[in-house]
This record gives sequence, C-alpha cells and structure tokens, in this order.
Amino acid sequence: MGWISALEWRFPGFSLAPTRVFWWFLVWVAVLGVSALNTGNNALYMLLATSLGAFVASGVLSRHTLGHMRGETVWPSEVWACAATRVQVVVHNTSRWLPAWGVVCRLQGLPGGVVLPPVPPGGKVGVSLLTRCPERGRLPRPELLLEVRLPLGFFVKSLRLPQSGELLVYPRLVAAALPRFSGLPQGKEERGDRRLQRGGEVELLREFRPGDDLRDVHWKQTARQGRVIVMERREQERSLRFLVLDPHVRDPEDPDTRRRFEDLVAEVASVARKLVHAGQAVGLVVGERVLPPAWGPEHLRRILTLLALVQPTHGAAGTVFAIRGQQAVYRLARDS
Amino acid sequence: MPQVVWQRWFGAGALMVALLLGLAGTVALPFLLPLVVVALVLVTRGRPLRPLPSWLENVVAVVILVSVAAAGGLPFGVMRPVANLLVLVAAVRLWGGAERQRRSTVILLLAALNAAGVASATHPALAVYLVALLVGVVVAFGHLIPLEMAQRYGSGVPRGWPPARMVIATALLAFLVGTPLFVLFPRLRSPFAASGLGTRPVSGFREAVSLHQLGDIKTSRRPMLRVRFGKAGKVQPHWLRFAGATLTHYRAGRWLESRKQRPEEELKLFTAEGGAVEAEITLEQSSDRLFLPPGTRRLLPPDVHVWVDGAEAVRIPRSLEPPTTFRVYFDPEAVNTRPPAAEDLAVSVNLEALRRLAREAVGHASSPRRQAQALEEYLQTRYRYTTTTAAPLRADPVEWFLFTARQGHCEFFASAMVLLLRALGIPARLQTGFAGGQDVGGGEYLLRDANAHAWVLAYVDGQWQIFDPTPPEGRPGADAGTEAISVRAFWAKLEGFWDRWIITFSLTDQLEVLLRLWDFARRVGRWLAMGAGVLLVAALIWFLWPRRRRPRQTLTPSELGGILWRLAEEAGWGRECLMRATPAQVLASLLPRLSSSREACLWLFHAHERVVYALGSQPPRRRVMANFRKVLAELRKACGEVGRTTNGRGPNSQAKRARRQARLPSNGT
Repeated sequence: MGWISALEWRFPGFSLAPTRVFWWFLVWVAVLGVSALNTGNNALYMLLATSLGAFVASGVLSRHTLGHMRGETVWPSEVWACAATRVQVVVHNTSRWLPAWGVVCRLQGLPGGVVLPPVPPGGKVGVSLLTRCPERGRLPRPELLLEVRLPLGFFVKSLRLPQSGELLVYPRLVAAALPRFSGLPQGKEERGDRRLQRGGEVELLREFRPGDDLRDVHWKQTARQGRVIVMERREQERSLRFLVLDPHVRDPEDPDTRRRFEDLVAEVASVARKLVHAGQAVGLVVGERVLPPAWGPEHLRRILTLLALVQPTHGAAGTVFAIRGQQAVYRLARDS
Repeated sequence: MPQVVWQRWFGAGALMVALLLGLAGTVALPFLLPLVVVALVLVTRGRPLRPLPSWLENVVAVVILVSVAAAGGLPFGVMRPVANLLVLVAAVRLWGGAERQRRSTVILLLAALNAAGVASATHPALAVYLVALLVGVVVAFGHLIPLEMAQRYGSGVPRGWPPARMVIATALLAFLVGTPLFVLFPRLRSPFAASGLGTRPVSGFREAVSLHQLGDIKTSRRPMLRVRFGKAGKVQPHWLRFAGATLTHYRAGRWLESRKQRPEEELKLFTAEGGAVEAEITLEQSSDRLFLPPGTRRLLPPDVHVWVDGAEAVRIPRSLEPPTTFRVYFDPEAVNTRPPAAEDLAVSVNLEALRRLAREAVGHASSPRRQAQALEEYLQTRYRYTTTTAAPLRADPVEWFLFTARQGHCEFFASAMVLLLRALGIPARLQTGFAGGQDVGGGEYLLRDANAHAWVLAYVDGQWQIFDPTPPEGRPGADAGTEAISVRAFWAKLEGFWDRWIITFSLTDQLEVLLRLWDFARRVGRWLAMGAGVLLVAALIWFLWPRRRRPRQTLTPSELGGILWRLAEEAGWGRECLMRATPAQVLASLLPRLSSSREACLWLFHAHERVVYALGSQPPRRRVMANFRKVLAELRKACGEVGRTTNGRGPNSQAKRARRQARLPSNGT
C-alpha cells in the first residue's frame, strides 16, 4: 500500500498490519455512525466520539512505544541448523514516561518469539528467545523484530532493527554411525591403534586439554596439584584418518540433489563431532581443501566451518587424491 | 489459563452492561436477571465453562422467542423487544463464550447491548460510565493480548496488569480527540426526534398536544425557568404553576390553537392593577413565549415586541437570546383568562359514552364545583399514571385512555377531564405549562423540562378554577431545599450543563459554537496565527531533531573488538594466530611492553570483556578512542620486537626480526 511505503520512508523499519479487531471496529463505527445520524441521539454521538478517540489514542501510544525501542541480539558461539538455539535479546526503552508493555520479540525470517516483560521508561530488559535456523551457512544476522499491539489491538505495528555482523550456522546434527575407515581390518586396526595410541613412554606431564583420553590422567599428580594432569606419551606411529566429502554432483540446482547433499553434509558433521569428542584425531577433505587430522574444540570448529560453507558443485564425482592414511568417503550415489 | 481469564472479563463486561441497561430502563428486570446470573457465574468460576449442548440451546431459543413475544412492547418502538431479545441471547452465548470460536459473537452482543443502553441513558453519570468503559476495555486488552501472544509463542505467561500510565494516557487522549469530534459530528436531526428505530419523545412543554405520540417519554432535566418570588412570605406549592398555552379545540386526538396574533386588546388581560404576589421569571432556554402564572394580573414583559396568540400565549420573538427575564404580578387564587365560549363545551368524541362515565364518576354531586371535584378524584384514584403509552392510531386517545388502557400521563388525564366536564355541560379548557420546581435556595425555584405538566381549567361558580386530575405520583412537585444548598446548586448546574450542551446538543448549537469560535478567531487572529506558527516550529524541531546526524556516543562490541584487533596487529600478531587467540592471551602479550599506557590497555580489554560477556553497557566512544591512541602511541614508540604469547612467539615476529637485522649495518662495513 502506498501510504505504508510513505510511513516506512518517514519511520524506517516500521510496518503496519491491521488485525481482525480493526475490521470489526470499522463495522462498529459505521453502524454506530448511521444510528447516531438517524436518531440524532447525542449519547450515541458520545459513544462514537469515544470510540474514534480511543482509536487515535491507541495509534499514538503504540507508535510512541515502538519509536522508543532499541534492541540487540547476542547469539551463542555455536549455532546448529535445525536445532533449538537460545538467543539473548536485550531491549531498551528510551521513552521517558511510558513503559513498554506487551511487546513481542521475534527474529526476522526465523520461528519463535517471546513476550517481553514490562520495560520501564529509560530501562532495559533481557530475555531469552528460542529459535531455529533452518539452514547452514554464513548468514547476515537476522533483524530483530519488535511487535506492538496494545493498547487496543487494532494493528500489529512492528519495527525491524538491523543487527550487525554475520552468523555462522553449522550443519545440522543427525544420528550418524561411526564410519568404517578404509585400510586395515576394523578389529585388528582398533586393537593395534589402541595399543599404539596408549603405548609408549611418558614424555611429559601437562595440564588436561579437552579431547585428551581420560585413561591418561595421572591421578596422583592431579590430587597433589589440585588440577587435572595427564601423561603425554611419546607418540607412536598414528594412523591418519580423514573424512572425505565429495561435493561434486550431477545437477547442483536440482532440489532433490540439494536435499540429499544437505543430509550428507549433516552426516559428515555429526560424525566429525562424535569422533573429536571421543578424543580421536580426524581430518577433513572437501574437494581440494584439506584439514589435517587434529583434535580439540578449535579443530572441530574449523571442520564445522568448512562444512557449513561447502556447496555442491557440478561435475563428475571427484577423484579423491591419494592421501596417506585411512579415509571414509562420503559421496552422493549416482542416479541410476 | 487464558480461557478462564477471558471468561472472567466477559463476566465483568456483562455485569457492566446489565447495570447500564437496568439503570437506563432499556430492559426490564426479569429479562436482565439471566444475564446477571450468568455473568456472576463466569466471574466466580475458576474453570472454563463449556457451551450448552445444541439441543438445549434450541430449546432455550424457543423459550426466548416466546417470552419476548409475550412481553410485547413493539408498539413502544423496536428498541425494547430487540433489547430484550439481545439480552437473553447474550446470556445463552455467554455460557461457554470464552471458547475461541465463540468470542467474537459474545463481544458483538455485549457491544450491541452497550450501545442500546447508552442510547437510552440521559443521566450525567453516562459520562462516568463511558470513561469507566474505556478504561475497562484498555485494561482488558492489556491483560488478554499478552496472554494470547505468550500462548502462541509458548514463552510463558506474562504476569501483571497493563501500566497505569498507558491506561490513563489512552483515556486522556481519547477524551481530547473525542470532544471536538462530538461537537463537529453533523446533526441532521434534532435530539430524540422520531426515527425508524423507535420514537422516544422527551418531556417538555409542547404547545400542540398530540395524544397519539407513541413510546416512552424520556425525562429531560434541562432547566427551563428560574422563578424568584418577591416579599410574599412562604411560597405555596400551588404558586408554582406557569401556563404556556391554553387549549380549547380538540379534534382527532390533538389539541390545537391558532398561532395567529390576536387583537391588541388581548394584551390588556395582563395590564390590570393588583396581584398579591410578585415574581421575577427568567427563561433559561430560547423560547417563543412567556410562561405566566394562571392568575397573572400584570405583566412587565422584556423590552421586545410581544403579542398574544390564539392559545392565550404571550409570544415573544424566538430570536431573543436567553436568559430572558420579566416580572409578573399574580393572584394565586384566581385564573385570568377569556370568558367561556361555545367552544369550551365542544366534544368531538363519543358524547354518550363520556356522559355515562361522567355521571357514574360524579355520583350524587349536584353543583358544578362538586362534580368537577368528583371527576378529579375519580381520575386520580381509578386510573394509573405512566409515561409509557401506546394509543392505537385508529382509536381516539381519550376514549382509549378512559375505557381501555386506564393509564397514561398528565395530558391524558387533563384531556379526559376536560371532555368529561364538557359532557356534563361545564366549560373546560386544557392548559399546559410547567408546575412544581426545585428550591435552589434564596427564594429561587428552578423548573426543568421534567416539570412540564397539563391541567384543567373548569368554569365553576362563575369563575375559572384549576383542577389537576393527574395522580400525585405523576404530578411535578416542589422539591424542598436542604442544608447542602451549595452541593445541590452545583449539581443542578452540572445537570443543566449536561442537558443543555450534551443531551440536547443540536445543529443550532453546533452553528452557535462555530460562530463563537469564528468570532474568537477574528478577535485574536493575529495572536492566533503567531501561536500557530510557534507551535509549528516547535513541532518541526521536535520531529526533526532526533534525525539530525550526530556522532554515536558509544561503541558497539564489534567496533571495540576491531580496536583491540588493531592493537594486536600493531604488536605483531598475525591474522591466523589472532583468530585462534583469546583476548586474555593478547592482553598478556601487550602488558610487558607497556608502561605509561598500561592502565589504558587494561581498561580497553576489560571494557570489551564486560560488553561481550557480561552484557554491560557500551563504553563511551571518547574514552575508548583516547585510551586506544595512548596505547598505540606507546606500541609504535617501542622499536623492539612484539611480545611473547603463551604459545610462543608469533610467527610474524620472527619475520620482522629478520627484516630488521637485514637493515642494521654490520660492524666494519
């Protein structure tokens, strides 16, 4: 509607949508007006004037409330696609006299919302908003949407507050089984690996780091020093394990292909997370990008970042270049 | 649970509507009771009510239709039966009305009943009711909408009521906007004029009495006359009678007289000497006639052209601005009117029936005076006073009153007595005007529209005498004053203002207000224009000031992070290392290199920590930039290599060292 565009020009980020109450109010005013005109009853004129006055008052006060609201969002450090994410929202009320009541907070384009507690004049409140990002990737931070319906609910007036910065959404987590890495038979490999990984002389004692094997904890030193101390053994020949994701597909634009590719990425991400949390070193190969095997939260973050940004590309199934070590290859099956 | 809250609000709303309907008299009590009972159940019950089964609703619908039809009232206008029907339907729909699919219907019904009640009310308390209604609606919306939103988003139930400031501001703004709207709405009809929705005439003087008028008479408390008696001792109740018209001709249910000006000698009726009592009468409203005591001997009219018309009314120009004051001298025990004539015996209805009834009423009374008194008593005791009438159009109203309805208002009683007297051969006339009044103190009496009355002049014992056949409950009385004179006077003024400028506000009044505003604007035009200009400038400043460009006073967390990043780069941190490092690590590497700006560096990193991790307030820009410049200056001053990190030297530091060593001259060259 042209006048709404004009409103947006004057009040950037502002939008207006009539509610069912508004349409019923129009009917009410019309019927009341005709009755008052027909009868000349001044009491009906009073009721009509009160109704229209209340309509104007509601518009003025809701606009005042919305015009004095500011807000920002604080996202958690890890955001997963299709998973419930709790976003902290801080809303400021810069009005000097009118508290903000009944304000609804939402994120543009994302589900979920929260009704704010009363925001005193000149004050602020912080609330937790549960939402869900539908897809992975690097996205601009969604705008914060503040909606006001009160005092009388004729319109839903909303204000979009842009949020600076970007958001990295990791692939969604699925229940994925651990892969069978190519190379030595599973059982022998595991036995041997375990011995190799945990064997060897103790090279040094150091502080515990996330990802360390709990069996390497030196309990005596831990009790003595009051912090968790682990034994770092001389590293044996470790087998290098890689998760390989082939991004080449026949038709990247096909929706079904994209859906299947997303499932694939989700599986790889879930497997990687499981392995790293289990203390295993794992690397990632995506196309020509290689992340060497490592462990720890920082490495996991690199893996997930790479997986969050990978896109399917057109081409025949890529040849996985020869890498030293074992690998689990994830590739979309060709259409028959 | 939101449904219970909705239920309680519906109950409260229904109670408010029932109160209004009961006080305004729109709906009779038996019809209101179901609504009141249901409303009380809704308010007190702690669990949501389910709607009635459909078979039961169908049965109840039949009962409702039968009871509305039995109550009748259609001849009084459509308002009453429609209101009765709506009240009963509302009572049924309220039960279980808090369910989502029934809420709209309940709200519509309550709104319609509310409008019907408001339309029927004339008391000044209506203003208080409207304010209370607005406040109630705002509070209800403020309570219910957040509940609905919280239920929609599953984010818990917000507790509390809407802020008082919001409610008060809404009410005040609504009043400020609504008042000029009320004044400016176009008035195409006079207040309470007849309409398709039902006739509701208002009490007041009428020069042409029409007994066929249908519907209820709404009592108007508009002040009409103010009377101050001279030094005559205690004022007697029968002094409070002021005639506006004396009517002789009755035909087809109407008393009419000619408005034509009578010959000049008619005015001589009121120029005689004498008159024991002196009174100063003030007309509070615009009028085309003077209201005089029936025994007026001498009239000192206002200084305008006056004349007497066919109804013996002393007429003045209607354009005369009120208040209009004049003085009279009157004999309270006499009636000053023309001698009896043939038309004072004319009867145009069923003479035989009237004669029969009159003989039955007078019994054995022989003298005309006794017969008149007997008739007066007969009508007072055997007939009932009511302001609700429904004389059918095909029947003569007086016959209908005497033989069928046996109830009516003062005009019926007076008309009946006049015709009965004439049937007995006693000349009689109908006189209309005002009677009774309110003692407002200081010897002054106030008469309102509600004091309009009709009585009988009968020519008995060689003189005209006044008879009033209306039962006492229908006769306007004289209200005695009390100790709280000032409060009563204030309330009387308030009621007068209400009646004058609200209830009876008409097109004429609108034009008057607009003309006064125009006069005022012309008188103060220049000042008004200046004031408007000042207001416009102030509004522009208020509107544009927030939009001026001004530097931001605080830094956002991302800007603060960028400043710390810049410091770390200056200290030799590479990009890749910085992405893996924590602020604490960077700070630990900077501090050994700083001396004078150490505090500044600590402040910057702590501010960043507070903003990012503790949701603290954003630091002021000026201080951040000052500290940043201080630290940067010291870092640049140092010519040495970058500080150590906890993980070892930054990779770029070795490259810098190599470059520096390449530049340094070697010894001996």
